[in-house]
Formats: sequence, structure tokens, C-alpha cells
Amino acid sequence: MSLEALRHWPGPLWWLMGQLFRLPVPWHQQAAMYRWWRKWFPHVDILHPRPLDVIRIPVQVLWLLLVIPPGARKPWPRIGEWLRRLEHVSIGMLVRVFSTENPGPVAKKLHSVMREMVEHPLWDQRWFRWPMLLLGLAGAILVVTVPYELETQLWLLFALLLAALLIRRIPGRLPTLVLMAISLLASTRYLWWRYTTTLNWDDSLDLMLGLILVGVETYAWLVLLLGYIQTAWPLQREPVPLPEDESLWPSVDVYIPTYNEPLHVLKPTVLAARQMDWPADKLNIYILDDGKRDEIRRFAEKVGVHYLDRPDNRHAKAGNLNHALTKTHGEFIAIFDCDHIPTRSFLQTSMGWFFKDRKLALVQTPHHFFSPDPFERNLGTFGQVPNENELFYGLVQDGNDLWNATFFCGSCAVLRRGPLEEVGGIAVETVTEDAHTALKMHRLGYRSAYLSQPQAAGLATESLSAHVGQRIRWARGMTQIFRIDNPMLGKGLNPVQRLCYSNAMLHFLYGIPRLVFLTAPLAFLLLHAYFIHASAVAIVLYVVPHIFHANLTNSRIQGKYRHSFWAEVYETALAWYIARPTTVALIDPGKGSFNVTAKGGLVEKEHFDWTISRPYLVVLLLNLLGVAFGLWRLQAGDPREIPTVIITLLWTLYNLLILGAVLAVAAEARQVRINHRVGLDVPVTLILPGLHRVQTRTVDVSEGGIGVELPEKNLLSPGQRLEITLFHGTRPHVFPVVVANVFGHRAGLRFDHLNVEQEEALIHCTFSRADAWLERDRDRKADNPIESLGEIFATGVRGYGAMLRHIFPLLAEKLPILERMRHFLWQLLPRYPVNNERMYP
Amino acid sequence: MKWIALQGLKGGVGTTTAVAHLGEACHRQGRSVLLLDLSPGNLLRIYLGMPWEVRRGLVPALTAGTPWYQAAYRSASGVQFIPFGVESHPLAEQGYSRSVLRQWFRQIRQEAAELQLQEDTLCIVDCPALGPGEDLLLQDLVELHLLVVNPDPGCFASLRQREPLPGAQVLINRLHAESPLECDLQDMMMASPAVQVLPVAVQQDSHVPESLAWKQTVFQAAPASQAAQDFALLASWMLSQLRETEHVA
Ligand SMILES: Nc1ncnc2c1ncn2[C@@H]1O[C@H](COP(=O)(O)OP(=O)(O)OP(=O)(O)O)[C@@H](O)[C@H]1O
Ligand SMILES: [Mg+2]
Repeated sequence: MSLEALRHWPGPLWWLMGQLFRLPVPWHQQAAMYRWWRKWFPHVDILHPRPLDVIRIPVQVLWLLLVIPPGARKPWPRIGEWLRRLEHVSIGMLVRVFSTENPGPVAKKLHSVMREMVEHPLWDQRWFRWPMLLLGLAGAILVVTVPYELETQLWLLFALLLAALLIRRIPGRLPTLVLMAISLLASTRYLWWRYTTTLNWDDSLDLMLGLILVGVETYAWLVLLLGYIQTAWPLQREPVPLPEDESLWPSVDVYIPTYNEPLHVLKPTVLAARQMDWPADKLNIYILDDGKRDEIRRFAEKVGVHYLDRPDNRHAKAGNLNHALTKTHGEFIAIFDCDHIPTRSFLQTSMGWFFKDRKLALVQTPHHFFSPDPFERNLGTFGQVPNENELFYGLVQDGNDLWNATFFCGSCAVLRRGPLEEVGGIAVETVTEDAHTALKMHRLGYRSAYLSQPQAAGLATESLSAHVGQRIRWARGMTQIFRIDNPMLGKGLNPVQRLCYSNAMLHFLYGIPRLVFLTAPLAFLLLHAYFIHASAVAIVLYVVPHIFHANLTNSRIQGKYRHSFWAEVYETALAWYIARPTTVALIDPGKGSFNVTAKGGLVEKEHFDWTISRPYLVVLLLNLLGVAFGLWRLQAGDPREIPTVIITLLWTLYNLLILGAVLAVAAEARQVRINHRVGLDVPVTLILPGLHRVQTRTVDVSEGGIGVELPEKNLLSPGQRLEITLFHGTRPHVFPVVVANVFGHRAGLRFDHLNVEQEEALIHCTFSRADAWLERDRDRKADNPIESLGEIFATGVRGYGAMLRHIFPLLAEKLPILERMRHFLWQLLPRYPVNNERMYP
Repeated sequence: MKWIALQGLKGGVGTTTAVAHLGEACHRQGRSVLLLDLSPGNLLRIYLGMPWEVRRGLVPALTAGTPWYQAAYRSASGVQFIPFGVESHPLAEQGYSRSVLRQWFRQIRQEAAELQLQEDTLCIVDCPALGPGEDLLLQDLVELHLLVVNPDPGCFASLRQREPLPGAQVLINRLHAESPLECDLQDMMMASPAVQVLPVAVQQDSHVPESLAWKQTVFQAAPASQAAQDFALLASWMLSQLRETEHVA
């Protein structure tokens, strides 16, 4: 109750009287009274009353009397301050607990102790090794199946937690393996518990939902396990130098397949391919044009590369490559998608291994993108949070390499002709011909290798729908392979290869599981189905270690290549679209193709992609409904249910968080230019009139221009023509440019009619420099789960914001009343008292 | 003390320019520097801002029998230098022969060692251009002997004829980067096994003569110029090179 307002009641009364009965009130008293009024009724101007003040004033009085605590002038800021401080301290602590930087001396010591233990000669003794292994296995079984009592579980939880938190401080790979073991123990125990005690066999609805969830969790467990195997030990293969004698070097055909990409996309790739360091008589470049375009043919003639087209377009890219295979004769085949620009060192780096290993059939290098993919663009995470691609190339392929299971990814790779012809060329049975071809070659006993240095770079897919379309194709293709040429079956593969391939394929089945996780809590909130037949406490005690250890371990393995929880955002965003094609392909691999219409091109206007986000909006609504039901259950339901409701609500909130981030993906940001600017920091010389040279550095390059820093502000003026020198090694190359714009110490220069040699030289000095992409993640932070969660939260909030912003103009357009109503209600609401002493009538 | 000599393969290739600029660059990198002009043209001092009318320098000091180090000056930016000086030395009529210059240098180097000047001082000597059939002027007397050339066909041919020049490291000055010919000549010089070419070339830059017109180096008159960057890079390379030889020794 706010009695303070009434303490000075005679004053206002006086004043009111004065207003009403025109009594003479001294001016200073009037002012004081007015101030009093404005303080407690900030939204009502008593000198200019409005009709609705009749509502506002009593509402405000009630509000002041009932809600605002007595005497509290600034009640909220102080509490907020405390909350903030608390948050600061606790988050800071959490962040520290989760960070692995700077291991202390103790940790280092422990590391060496562990090494010694592992490298102990006793392990070489058979009589020691096998019993120990059996002992370990028995221990694991024990841990997984220890009776499921709450107290035991609690102790186990603490033991595992303590062990993990200690071990994670120790640097090195061994502790990572131990963490994996701990995580597997926790998750396996969880799953075992789920199977043996949490299924309610008496209620058919509960049982059905429960089985679905357990099934999905089993899938997640399997992927976790296979993922651990796959990434346990990235090989980090180094390039092997080529033999000194160049006459021993084999001939290489470079295939650049294209269908409808415009010349300006193709051009840099062809020019860069031509410049690769390789004896000229042994390097043949082929443009494989399925578009059969004259323009491309002429270009090929002009720059002196081969041009191939074919009568039909059967089997798309795979068919195109196979056709070329019959027309050319190089011993090796390097393949680049038409927008992947190779560096000059590509062949020098990748060919060495073929000499060392005669059974080697494939060397794959990463696909590196210098522009953001739609996810990164819309989430604003480019260059900060690693994208999906980087987990795959940074870790998965490198991990596969240890097991000789790296597969072909369609571009930026070299294949040996012999094995490729032996498997009948590029596979045409599925829509992911690349992985399938590699699988076939592995089955014949050939080997593959992965080099993790990016040796080529390209543009990422432009629009969200095209991106989604591409992922659908991958998912569908991988599922097709899983069905028609299952890596677990058939001849020729070793067990781990089978697992690695299976994981690559199983991974793409995440569609339905993700959707199940998104909607599972609703089964309880809306349908009141007890699909996990256990007490809330038990659920917490089992789930927490399962999730915690999995996240902790993955964060350690994948830190540099994937940030915690982001994969969930990416996968959730695609889940709906991938679910159907994969399921269909799983049932009938030959059937149907699914594509969202690719809009392509530039995203010209900022907008919200309602089509793509529609399924998620439905899920979102359901989840909101779930929350409402949950709150209602808290109030009205059985009090014994409250803990369960709370857990389920928390789960729903997490889902809402992820959904928010997914919505942020759908809010398409505007793309400004066709020519993507690529950050580039190399010396450049400006040649000003009279042979005055000024040296400075570049900021970025694009196909059409270059941004430079200016040592002096007014050095250049727009429209001015000049020449610049860029260096390729020590060799300078001169390019004519026109100054396009000048902003302070930056200038944008446009290249001025380069001839073919100059264009080639430009690519030489920029995109195809051997070191062009090596420093890609130089200033990116390692993963920290807590910070990651924070980022997702912020993104989620932005996502909801964007959606609302896009909804409201929409509604306001159709129903202006709504917006007015919101406004109307808003201005009727009571306000906090204002503390402003300097207020005059 | 470390001694570095610069000598032009022929006249006008930019030796004096290079001495002044390398001195200034090293000074800016915090080294104590002494520049010694051993070339009768007596032009080094102009780069360092000395007034025309002053005639004092090394030769007048030696003639008068005063110690040579009393002829040292300090430029406005703090670089110490000893100009050649203008004086009717008895030897002047016959021209200063190689042996005389070498003799003087030997004396200076010895006395400098005895004087125990600052230990890490860098002494850069500006030598007169190489005459026909001559060897490097200060061969075997200095730690580093740079031979300044321009990347033109004349210098290239002359270099080819004289190969091998023992002890010489070739510094390319006045490179026109936009001329494919000059770039090719540079590449060919670098590829030649008989001479060692420095990895950094100094480009032709109009800021250099313009700064000279102001009696300054480009470091004062045009700090953003290509020449300033090139000379700074060259100086860093030189210093690291010296450190390496020290290491080996
Ligand atoms: N990198 C350069 N760019 C432009 N001009 C230069 C450059 N280097 C030297 N010059 C100019 O060349 C001219 C000759 O330079 P300098 O006097 O240093 O040559 P030198 O080799 O010492 O000549 P000499 O043999 O007469 O002693 C000067 O005008 C100088 O400004
Ligand atoms: Mg000179």
C-alpha cells in the first residue's frame, strides 16, 4: 500500500479545490501540487483532462494502493541490480568451470601420469591386457546395471560428475577418450533405465508414446556412440612432398562441371585451375558444360582450356563427369564444382600421397566458403560460430581418415582414374553420387585420404530455400545408399569403415527424432500421457548425467568446429524438410524427389520466410499451448504432479528457445551485392600520377573491385583513375582501377577493364594464393557451452522479435484497429510514479 | 660495431640514396647508426640536411691531422654521419685511388675499435661506384657488402660479365614494378647461382628525388610512400641478417 501519496493530502485537495472552484491559490503552491500530481499520475495531465482519465485515475489509484510497495521509490531497479550482479557472478563461475584454457601444473602432471600408465609395457603382455579389458567391460556393465534406486543413482551421478570435471582439466587426447567412456556409461545407463523401468505396459497410449520416445532416444544414443568412434582420433594427415623429378609426375585432368551457372561464376575457377602449379603439358582443364552454351565455349577457347558437352543430360552431374571420363586420358582426375576456386598449391599439396600409397584412390580436401550460408547470414554468426560444414570437414572427415573411411564430397578432390573406372565411374544410382562412389571404391579395397588444409574456396548457397533444398538432396541420397548399398552389409569393408559410413547415413535420419523431441513434452502437457513412467526426481537424476556428459564431451571433442547447441538449431531448422524425403527413401529408395522451390539469386528485401517456417510456427503454437496447459496444471492439477509439470515445462522452454533461433533463421536478412567481398589483408601499392608510389594494405576483394586502406584521408578522390600493384610472391602485378568511393581512411577501387591476363594475375594475387584460406578460424573462440547457450538465447529472442515485427505490420495492414487497440489499452495502464523533482506546469 | 658497405655497380644507381635511407630506417628501429661517406661526390650529407656551404668532413680532418671522429655530425632526426668533405687534399689531383680509400677505411675501423664506441653501433659506408675491372672496394673489410644495381639490361649485362663477385650481395633499386621486363630481369638475377640477391627490392618512386629536393629522406617527407616501406623492410632484413652472422660466429 502506498500511503505516502496520501501523506500530503491537504495539498492536492487545496489544488483540486482551486481547479474546481477557481479559488485563488498561491502560485508556488500550485506548482508544488502540480508536481505532486505528475509524480503519482504521470500519464494524466490534469491541466488538460481527457475523457478517459475517468478510467485512468481510479486504475492508477488502485495500482498505487495495491501494488507499489510502501515507501519504495525505486523498488525495481535495486532488485534488478542484485539480479544482474548475481547473474554476473554465477555465470562467470559457470563459464570458468566450463573453460579448458590454461591447464594448471597439476593438470599437466596428471597428463604425464596418464601417459605413463597407458604406455606401460605391461599392456603389451597378453596375459595382462585381456583380463584388464574384461575387467573394464565388467565394470561398465556393472555401472550400467547397478540397481535403479534413487540413492545409488545420486551417488553415481556425483562420482561421474566429479571424475569428468577433474579429467576435463587434463590436456591431451587420452582424457578425451576417458570422457567419452564416462559419457557413454551415463547415457547407456540412462537408456537401460528407460527400457527396463520407465515404460508403462498397462496403458496403451502411454506405452505407445513412451516407445516412440525411447526409440528416438535409442537413435540419439547410437549416433552419439558412432560419433565418438568416428571422431575419437582425427588423423590430421600432413601433405607428402612430391618426387623431385618432375618427369615422374602423372598427368591430371581437371573437371569443372557446370550446368547453368553464369560465366562470371565459372571464370575465376577456370583461371585459377589453369594456374595450379603443375607441369603445363600434364595439366588439362575441362569445362563440362551441360548447359551447352556458346558463351562458355568461346570463353574456353579464349583462355585455352578444353570444352566438353554431351548430347543428353542423363544422371546430371554424375553423368556429366562419366561422359568426360570417356573423353579424356589423364591418370588422375581433379574435380571442382564451378564455384570452388582452387589455390595454386592444390595439386602440389594433394598429389603427394598418391605416390606414397599405390592403393590410394581418393584425396579429399575441405569445402571452404568465403561467404556466409543463409543460416549464418540470418543468424549473424558468420566467422564467429562454426557452421555445419566445419564440423563435417574439420572433424568428421578427419576422424574418418584414421579408419580409412573418408569419402568423396563431389568437389575439391582428386581421384585416381583406375579405381574410378573399376567401379564403373561415378555412381548414378543415388542422388549423392560422391559418397556412393567412394563407398564402392572402399569395397574394392582402395584407400582414401583427407587433407584438412582448405585448398579451394567458394560461395555458399545464397538463399534459405536453396540451402534447404541442397540438404534435402544430401539426406535423401545418403538414405538411398543406406537402403540399396548398405555399408553394414556386403563385401570388402572393415568393421569400423562400416560404422563410419553408417553414421554418415544415420546422421541424416535426424528429421523425425528432432520433431519428436520438439513435441514430446506436449504429450504430457496436453494429453496428460505419462510417457516416461518415473518420478520427477528420478527423471532428473538420470537425464542430467546423460545430457551433461554428452555435452561436456562433445564440447571438448568438437570445440573448435562446432559450438554446443548450435547443431541443434541447424538440425531442427531442417528437420521438417528432411523427415519426409528420408522416410520415403528409407521405404522405397527409388521413389520421388522433393524440392522446395529454389528462389536463387539475391535476397533483395529483408523479409520473413513464412513458407519455410510454417511447420515451425505450428510447433511453436503447440508449444505455447503446452506452456499454457502446464501453467494451468500447476494451478489446478494434482499437487503431486507439480515436479513433473515443472520439468516438462523446462523442457518446453528449451524447445521454445531452439524454436526461436530457428525462426531467426527464417528472417531473411537482405543481401547487398552480387560480388561477395572477401576479407583480404595483403600489401598493395597505389601508383599515383607521376610515378608516386604509396604502399598500403587491402581490406577486402571481390571479383569486381578491391578495398584499400588510405594512409592519408584525401589521397584519392572518387572517379580518379590509377594503377595498383599486388604481389604474387615477390612478383608484382599491376592493375588499372577507378576509385569508386572514399570513406575516410578507406577507399573502394573498381577494376577498370582487365584483360584476360590481368584477370588471371588478379586471381593469382588473391583467391589462389596458397595461403589464402589457411587462417580462416584464426580469431574464433573455442566452444563454451554456457556462452553458447547464451548466444542461442539471444538469437532466439531476436527470432521471436523478428517474427512479431513481421506479424504486426501484417496484421496492422489488415486490421489497423488491432494496433490501435493495443495502443489504447496501453495508455490506460497504470504507471510507476516518476521521480522528477524538476517538473513545472 | 658492425660495418656495412654499399657500392653502386655503376654511377647513379642510388647508392647514396640507399645509404641515407637505410641509416634513417635503422635509426628509427632504435639502432645507433653512423654513416660514413667514402665517395668523393660528397652527396650523402645533402640527404641528411647539411647546408651546402659547410666544407668540413673526413678528408679535411685527415689533412689537418685532427681525429676523423671530430668530423661527425648529427642530422635533425638524430642520425650520425661523417661527410666526405671538400678539401684540396694533396691526393685530390690524382683522384682518390682505391688503395687510399681502403687505407683510410682500415685506419678508421681500427681506431673505432680502440675508441670503444657504443658496442652495437651500425656503420654504413657509402662507396664510390665500381670502376671497370675492379673488385668491391671494401671487400673483406666489412661484415656485409651490398652491391646496388638497377634492374635494367645494362646493369644485368654488367653483372653477368663480372660474375662471380665474391662477398657481394645485390640490392636492386629503382624497380619499375609495372614493367614486365624489369620484373623478368629481377627474376633472372634472383635465379642466378653466381650472385646473391636480397629478397627485398626498392621500387622506383618519385617520392625519393622529391624528398631529396627538400634535403630529407622519404621517412620525413613521404612516410606513406612505397620507398619508405621498402627501405624499412630492407633495414629489418639487414639487421636480422647481421644478427644471424653474429650467431654463426
Ligand atoms: N628508388 C628510387 N626511386 C626514384 N628515384 C631514385 C631512387 N633511388 C635513387 N633515386 C634517384 O636517383 C638519383 C641518383 O641517386 P644517388 O645519388 O643516390 O645515386 P648514386 O648511385 O649514389 O650516384 P653516384 O654514383 O653518382 O654516387 C637521385 O636523384 C635519386 O633521388
Ligand atoms: Mg653517390
